[in-house]
Amino acid sequence: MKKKSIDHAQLLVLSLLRGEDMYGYQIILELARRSQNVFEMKEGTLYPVLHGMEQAGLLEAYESAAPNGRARRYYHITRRGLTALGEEQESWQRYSAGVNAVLRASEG
Amino acid sequence: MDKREFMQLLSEQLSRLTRFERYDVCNEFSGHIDERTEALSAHDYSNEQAEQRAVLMMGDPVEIGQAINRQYSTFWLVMIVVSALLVLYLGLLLWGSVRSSNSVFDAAYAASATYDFVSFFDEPEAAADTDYQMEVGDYILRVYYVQVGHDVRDIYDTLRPDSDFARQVYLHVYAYHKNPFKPVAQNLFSNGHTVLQNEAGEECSLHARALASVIYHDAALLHVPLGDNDTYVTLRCDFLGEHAALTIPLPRAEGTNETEGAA
Repeated sequence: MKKKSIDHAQLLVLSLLRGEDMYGYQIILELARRSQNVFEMKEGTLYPVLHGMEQAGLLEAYESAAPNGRARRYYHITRRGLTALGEEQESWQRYSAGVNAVLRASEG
Repeated sequence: MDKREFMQLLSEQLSRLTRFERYDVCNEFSGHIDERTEALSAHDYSNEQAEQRAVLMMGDPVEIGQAINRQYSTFWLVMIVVSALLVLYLGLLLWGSVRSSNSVFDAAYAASATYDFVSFFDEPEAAADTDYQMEVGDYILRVYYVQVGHDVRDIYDTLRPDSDFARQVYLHVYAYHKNPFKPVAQNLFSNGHTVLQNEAGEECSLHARALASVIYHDAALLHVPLGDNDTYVTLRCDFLGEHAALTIPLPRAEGTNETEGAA
């Protein structure tokens, strides 16, 4: 069976969740902070990505209460998610290095 | 658009999700909007403005809802519907097979069949609850009740009150397929396939079939005149090239003790 590659939004989310479990709103904030507001999107569009990855087995979700008592749905990266992240990260780095090499050559 | 409208539109798109999944998704979005609203309220927004802004930042609820919906496979929904239909179908088959093979039901059915067939005897000589069985190809015939007496009618059902009442025997017979999921052939008892024979070799075929017969079993009443000294009758079945015969001892006049049959 051909393995389905993950898209860039999924790569970013998996990368964030490798460090710690997060809930949706926290992912949005962290994504904006780490990308220095380069990645800004309609916040609701994050959730189809999260639910898609959960259905694909890349993430697991669980509920935990916030200090104010509000229930939050946390996402945890699975072993399969870590494998996918490793492969896609490597692929992305090769792609990025290739693009940079071309750009540098063009400047020179 | 306020939060309530957003949640309503979002929820309407989640048709593939179960009720619990939909509840979880709505809770998740509601929490997100609340947190964003609180964050905006801390930056000089009124509560109302903050909520509207938070909803606006979420995006189009219809597009988001449809995108989430697409993430959920219809496989399980289809499986649930197919499973429910399968269970219903098997339940119906099982119900039919239980009616055909369950001994408790058989006893109850035999009793009800006994009452369904009105006794023709003013004074029955003897009667017995029995359970003689005979295999005929794929079918099993069971004799539940034997009654001997003197009939006020002849075998053509003509009332003859002034004649010497003929000694006769009635058998309540029940048939079902060996495979509980298969029905009984409707003509197993009719067209002379199943007959009752007395010791002199005189044969009579079907007298009546039970109105309660269903496709999984069939019930019939067979009778034949008896000689005064006859002690047994023979049930014969000839169906689809299969032949079988069962000798059935007649119940004794002293009581209704069940006796063994011999094939």
